[in-house]
Amino acid sequence: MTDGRVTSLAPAKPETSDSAERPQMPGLIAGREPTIVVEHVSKWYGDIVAVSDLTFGIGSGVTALLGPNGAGKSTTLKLLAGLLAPSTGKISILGQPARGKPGAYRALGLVPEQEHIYPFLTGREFVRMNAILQRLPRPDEATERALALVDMTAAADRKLGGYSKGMRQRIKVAAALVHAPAVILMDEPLNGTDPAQRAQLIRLIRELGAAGKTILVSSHVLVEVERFAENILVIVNGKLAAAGDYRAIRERIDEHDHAIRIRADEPRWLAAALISSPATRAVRIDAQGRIIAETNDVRTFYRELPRLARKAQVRLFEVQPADESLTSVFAYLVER
Amino acid sequence: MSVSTDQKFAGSMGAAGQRVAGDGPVATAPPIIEARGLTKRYGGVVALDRLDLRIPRAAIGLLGPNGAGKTTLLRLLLGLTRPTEGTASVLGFDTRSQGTKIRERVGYMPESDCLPMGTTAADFVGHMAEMSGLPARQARQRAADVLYHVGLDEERYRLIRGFSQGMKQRVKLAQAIVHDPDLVFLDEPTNGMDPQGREEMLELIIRIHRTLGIAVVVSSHILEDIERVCDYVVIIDGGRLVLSQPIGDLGPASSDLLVRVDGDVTTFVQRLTQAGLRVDTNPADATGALGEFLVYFDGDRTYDIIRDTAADLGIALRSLRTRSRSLEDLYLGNVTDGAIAEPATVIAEAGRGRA
Amino acid sequence: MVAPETPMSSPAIATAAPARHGEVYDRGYQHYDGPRLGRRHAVSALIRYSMKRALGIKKSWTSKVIPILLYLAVAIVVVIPIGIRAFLPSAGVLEYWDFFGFIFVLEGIFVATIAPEMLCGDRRENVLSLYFSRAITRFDYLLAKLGATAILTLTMSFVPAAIYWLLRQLLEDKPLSALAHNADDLGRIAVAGVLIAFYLGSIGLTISSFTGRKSIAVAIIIIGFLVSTTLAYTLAAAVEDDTLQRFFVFLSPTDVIEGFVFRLFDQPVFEDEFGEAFGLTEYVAGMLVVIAACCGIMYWRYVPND
Repeated sequence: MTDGRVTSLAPAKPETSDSAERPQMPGLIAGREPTIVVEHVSKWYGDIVAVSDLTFGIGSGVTALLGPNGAGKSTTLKLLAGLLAPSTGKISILGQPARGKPGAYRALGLVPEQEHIYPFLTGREFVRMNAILQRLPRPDEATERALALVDMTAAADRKLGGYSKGMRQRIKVAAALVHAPAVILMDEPLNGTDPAQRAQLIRLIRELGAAGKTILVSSHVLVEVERFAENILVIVNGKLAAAGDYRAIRERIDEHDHAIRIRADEPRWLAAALISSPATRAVRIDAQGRIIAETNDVRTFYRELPRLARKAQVRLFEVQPADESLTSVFAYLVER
Repeated sequence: MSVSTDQKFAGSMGAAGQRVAGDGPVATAPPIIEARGLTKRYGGVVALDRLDLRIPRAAIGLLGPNGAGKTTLLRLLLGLTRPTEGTASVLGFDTRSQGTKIRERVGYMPESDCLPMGTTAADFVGHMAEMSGLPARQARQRAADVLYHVGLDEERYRLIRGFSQGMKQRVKLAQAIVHDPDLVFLDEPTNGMDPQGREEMLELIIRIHRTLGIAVVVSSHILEDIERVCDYVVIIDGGRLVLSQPIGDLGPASSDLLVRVDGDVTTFVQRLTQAGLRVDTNPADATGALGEFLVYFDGDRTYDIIRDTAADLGIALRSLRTRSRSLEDLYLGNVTDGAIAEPATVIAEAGRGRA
Repeated sequence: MVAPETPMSSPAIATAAPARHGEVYDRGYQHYDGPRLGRRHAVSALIRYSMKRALGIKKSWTSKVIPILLYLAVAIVVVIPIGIRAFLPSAGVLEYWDFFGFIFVLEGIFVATIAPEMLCGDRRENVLSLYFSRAITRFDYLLAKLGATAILTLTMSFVPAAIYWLLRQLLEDKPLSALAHNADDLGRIAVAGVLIAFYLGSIGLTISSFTGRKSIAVAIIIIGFLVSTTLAYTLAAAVEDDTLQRFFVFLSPTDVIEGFVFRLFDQPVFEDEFGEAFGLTEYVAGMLVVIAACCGIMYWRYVPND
């Protein structure tokens, strides 16, 4: 059901045709309609290549845009938002070109990274201004709804100039959501927010994703990204390095065997049962009595595990992949 | 407080102890930071409200909502502003009367940009070492060493103007430790850094604390950073102390299980429900990873039902775990309503912007 | 730049070979056990550093150009009258009070370039927050900046004037006795040089303390010197009362310095737009009041009131 693709960073590697299960477009989960389609997009600033030959699709749900500083994430977001014209290539959002057509702008909400918001406006005025710019029939209602969504109603009558960084982030999110867009782009929305505000924004992003919006969020804090996104787009040096479900991407990184940590009531029985499975390469029991199993066929292993445990009459307390976190996946991708 | 936490904590105290032995002023005073009734008002706004602190030499995480008074506290502890009421001491020196003494032995890495663009890193850090009283030659030597240790090698002879955000953060860290302080205050040290840079910065801070025995106070909004680096946490909210305690293994948050399977999740969840378990596919606290769903614990049969349902359906059981109690639980459980915290103190300080 | 006696360098050398494969950070960061010289050293370090920065040392060529041109200009003011005197002994001599009149303009431009360099960058780039977290007080910071400005300004006033004095004595028939005989002139030159340096320097710094932008500070200082004279003339002309009229001279640094220098060298000062000229004491007092007021304003700008 899920898929991940790792794009080689080496130049001009021809597409291989081994992909019965791969979707046409990197980044897209099979079966979902792409909301955002990016085809062979490059952007140069003079001689500097910001992004180079990007091709990917993004469907509904939350996708995280990751990459080192200066890799081209902000450029990508600006291209998608129609703020920049690609030097070559094509971008469409809900079937319309991203730039020049009002239709795409209507469907799009952007939470920019910049802090340039008018200090003399109140939070409510700022959100309402966006509602009016979007020509909403009932701007006041939409404003109140958006303010409530980010929990800023109480502070809505204060001037933006007096807002803390976290409040500015949330008011920008409210402004981007006021016209209930189907596509939402967020550039580092968690920056500057304190833990409670962060937890709240994470919940909001999750809920928007579950509600079928297409959301692309850039962030540097991977442990937080893990909480709202499974799908990632990784850009390294202006090129697409990986796209798809990060755990599926992990499976494609073959050089490293998968280790799985298992806690059970009878670890020795389970270990014996596991070693009989061809999917298991090695099993050992660590000092805390946990089983560390190694496999190079994760899908089979995880499917076999409950059966083998039942057969051996072993109770499973904990099953955890040892290196499947987004942090370790990202490290693999950037290291190459 | 579990045993392992105590051990971890004692370990860091021990490392610090070696340091103290050869090093005058702090040898006799175990707490590095102490405050009694510390209060700071700006006009009518109370930034800090009767704060009592007794913080041991450790890696200390300072947490609180925006505008909780963290910056005010740091400024008070550095002796840069005077308390309205109460007293505080750092490394045994009184903040009111011995501010320069404190600052001679303390390093400070501010959150904001603070580097002169038209200077080389080596020149600037060397100059800052001299500003802490080191003789010119030693200052330059220390600057070169410290810059090297924070990961700036040949770049140190280039103008800071051309540096990336991550490199600037390293220079800021270097100037904070160049005079070999006993304590460093780090305000949002990983701000603006990408995952690799953040990882390296955290490693550096851990090293500063564990290997060099320098006590650190890290103020950060990213709880993960604090969890990685710190063994003690101080939480303030609305100018008041909420919590001050060692952190370590906080134990499980609850015995409820977070489960992730590949394949037909809907049927799997249906079967669990039919077997009498309560399942939440989108838990409101959003503390698990996306894709995990919460199965409320209902005795040991919970484990068996999950195992057997997966076996019956031939579904891959990708992950099964209880969630450990995290710093976030501790934080959210103690901070009243961070979401609408009024940053009154931030405004009060910004209004005085001359500093 | 490795000093063999510095404690931290030796262990690194000792372990150089086996550390080859180690991680970079493992290669011996050491605690610092050397001397800590405290506040006084910090202040002198800040003076030295600020002087270097203001002159453009270790900076790009563009920052060095103006100071170099000004020093060249001052050198010309010294060399030309001396040259004339050497080759045309019959020609008139440039008197000290006129010499100060010549270099005053250069000094004004010099202060306008260096004073903003002293303060604006630190404020604009927020380096202040780092300075104030070190072992100095805000007062120390200002003291160092005023000191650095005054020392540099002295190199544009007292130093060239003293050289001019020396060269003039050497051109006399009996240089040695001339040196002894005219020592009181050197004393006057010292008083004039120091007082003018602090006077102009403190005005320049005070203006600079109000903005983070160097270019704005430079412009305000230069325009201020130009406009102040005109303003003082206009106000003096508008006022009927003769006693009051005299005091407007203190609005014009140019006229204050001129009056002060002439009085110092016992030259007659004629009645001008401000009416009857003041005596030496009043001019000195006026300048000291301005210096004190500037220091007060800067203190208020930099030292928190809480």
